[in-house]
Amino acid sequence: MQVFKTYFKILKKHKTSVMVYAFLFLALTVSISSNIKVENEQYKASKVKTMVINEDGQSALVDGFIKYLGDYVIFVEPGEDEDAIKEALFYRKVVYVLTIPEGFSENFLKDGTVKLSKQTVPDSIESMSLDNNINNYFNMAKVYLKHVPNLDYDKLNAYIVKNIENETQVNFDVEVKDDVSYSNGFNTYFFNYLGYIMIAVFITGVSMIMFSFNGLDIRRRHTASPLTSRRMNFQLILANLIFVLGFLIVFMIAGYYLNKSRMINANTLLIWLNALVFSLTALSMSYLIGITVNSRKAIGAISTALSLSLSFLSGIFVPQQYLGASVLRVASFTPTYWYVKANNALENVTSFKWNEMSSVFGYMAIQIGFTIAIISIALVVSKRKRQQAF
Amino acid sequence: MVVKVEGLVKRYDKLVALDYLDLQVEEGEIFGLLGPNGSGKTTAINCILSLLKYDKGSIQIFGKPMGPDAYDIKKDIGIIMQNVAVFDELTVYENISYFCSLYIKDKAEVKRLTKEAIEFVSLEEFQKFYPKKLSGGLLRRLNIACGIVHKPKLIILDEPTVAVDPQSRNKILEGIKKLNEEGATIIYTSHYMEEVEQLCSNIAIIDKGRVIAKGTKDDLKAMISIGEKISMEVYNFNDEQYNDIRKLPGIYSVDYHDNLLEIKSGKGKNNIVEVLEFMGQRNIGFGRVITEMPTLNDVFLEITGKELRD
Repeated sequence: MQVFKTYFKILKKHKTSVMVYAFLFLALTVSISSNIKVENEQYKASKVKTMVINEDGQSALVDGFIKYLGDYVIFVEPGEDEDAIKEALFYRKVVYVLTIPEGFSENFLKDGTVKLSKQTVPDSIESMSLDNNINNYFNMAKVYLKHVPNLDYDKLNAYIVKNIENETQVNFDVEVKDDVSYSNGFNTYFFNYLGYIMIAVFITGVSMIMFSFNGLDIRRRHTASPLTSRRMNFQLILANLIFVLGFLIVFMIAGYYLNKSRMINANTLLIWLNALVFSLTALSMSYLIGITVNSRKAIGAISTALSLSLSFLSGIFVPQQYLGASVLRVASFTPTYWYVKANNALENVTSFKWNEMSSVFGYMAIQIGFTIAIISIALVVSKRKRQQAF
Repeated sequence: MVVKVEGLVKRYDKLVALDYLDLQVEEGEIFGLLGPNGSGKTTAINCILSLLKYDKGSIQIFGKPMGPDAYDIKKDIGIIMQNVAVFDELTVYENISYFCSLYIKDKAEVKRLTKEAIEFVSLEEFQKFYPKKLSGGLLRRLNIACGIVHKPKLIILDEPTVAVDPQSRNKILEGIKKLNEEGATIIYTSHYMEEVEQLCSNIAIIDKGRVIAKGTKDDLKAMISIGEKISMEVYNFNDEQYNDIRKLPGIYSVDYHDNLLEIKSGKGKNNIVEVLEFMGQRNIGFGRVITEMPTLNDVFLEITGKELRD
């Protein structure tokens, strides 16, 4: 197994380049992990810092409304003048300034007219939310006033509050296991990025080693030796597979320890299978590059260019839903596109019935097709080089 | 007979690289394959080693037909090619040990032979060096160590001294002699006639894929009409004197340039005496006089009409 051992000795010599990508990947994993945590926290309404300027004076309608607002806002003392208000908005001491004009209650009772004025921090989401709350209050108030005769303001306010407190229970008839969607979100990011790292690392590692073994002069020495080409190829293939599988296992374990609660779920096995299928495609690409390129520097450049371009094109760095139709059409001629597509499809799988799984297996089959095509090209190139070289 | 090549033909489309080449290499000899660049030496070696398919002919090594699957023959052959064939990622020791392990299975034996090969090429101090840290001469020595580490019975060296400094070249040539003394049969290709003359017991001169002359160096020199080369420093030599000296008996050719008179004479014992008498009779002053026996280049020149290094 001298070729096998030498393969790993050569790999050891290129460990720095491989480790750079490995650390890059682990950094990405940590970053993804923390980002997803923020995205998955439960929704919690926040209270809006609001200044209420009441020019209408004391009225049961206004008092009830302000009391209602108390559930949604943090009241800030009114500014002394227009400049003080503008300064408060500028420094975000207040997000929403609501002015209840003089005669507001009288007009509302007379014909239901609501004329409130507001000043807000530009493009503030909180202010839109508060707009909704204010509209809800007065729309309901109008309905009650129209349909309940002789309704006083205290009762009106009580009805509105009670109405808003009512919540409708909605049940989705979907079986969602603990943390599944949460896990799948992480897995999709993790494994999509793993695709990028696989291309970069395999081209750096495998291509460099294949380049060493396929150099014309080294090949002559091997051909002139009693080592059969079958034994040599067997040892090289075995070493390549062990490198690839070792890489996958190390990064799956690393991913698991970084994200223990999320990594294992019902779809994990299929995602791992997809990664394994893609690793063989990336390996075949690396092998082809290793036997066709004539300089080590060129291999380094190809590793960077190919891994980045395929990742941008195929939806690893930019999700596929944000890519244009023409870009996706071009991307469909690359194996990375189908790898990402299978990962994305697995995110949405809720049962393991054939109608859901067939597309996933279809995407994997396309990747295998790419692998076979690339290996066929590599064999032709290898044979031609053997015939021309000596 | 260790190597027997008969009627070997190799074509690259319309170019005939080997044209019915015949070679015989006897056991224990250093066989020189001499020819200018592009004469077909490397093609012949590649065919002998089954690195290249050929169109016609037969090759036998150790009395058995040689082919790509003749692994029992390959285990007794060592090759040292023109270009250095080592792994940049392995140290000197690792490279030699790896190439040894392609031939020898026993680990202890590989270790012993690796050590011996390192000592043979005097690379003891550089065992842990990577090839890129070695000078050109040391790299050549590493290349040789990788080719001979398994103690082959037949060693083929294809221009191993190209672009090597004189000191390393001498070491390499001494090493080849030593390997031969230890019992290895050697095929040595080169376009450096001095090396081939110095080293080889039998020589084949090859041009355009054909053997144009073969034998010992004395046999080859005996084939040509030039017997001696006389060079003299002469400061005044006119056309009349030039024409007269050409008429002397046994003179083959005369050339005068840069105050140097070069006379090639045929075989005979008294050429130098007759030339000196001629110079004395005509009162032609001369400085240093050098006489040389013909070289393989003269052999090649006379047979092909061109210099070996053309």
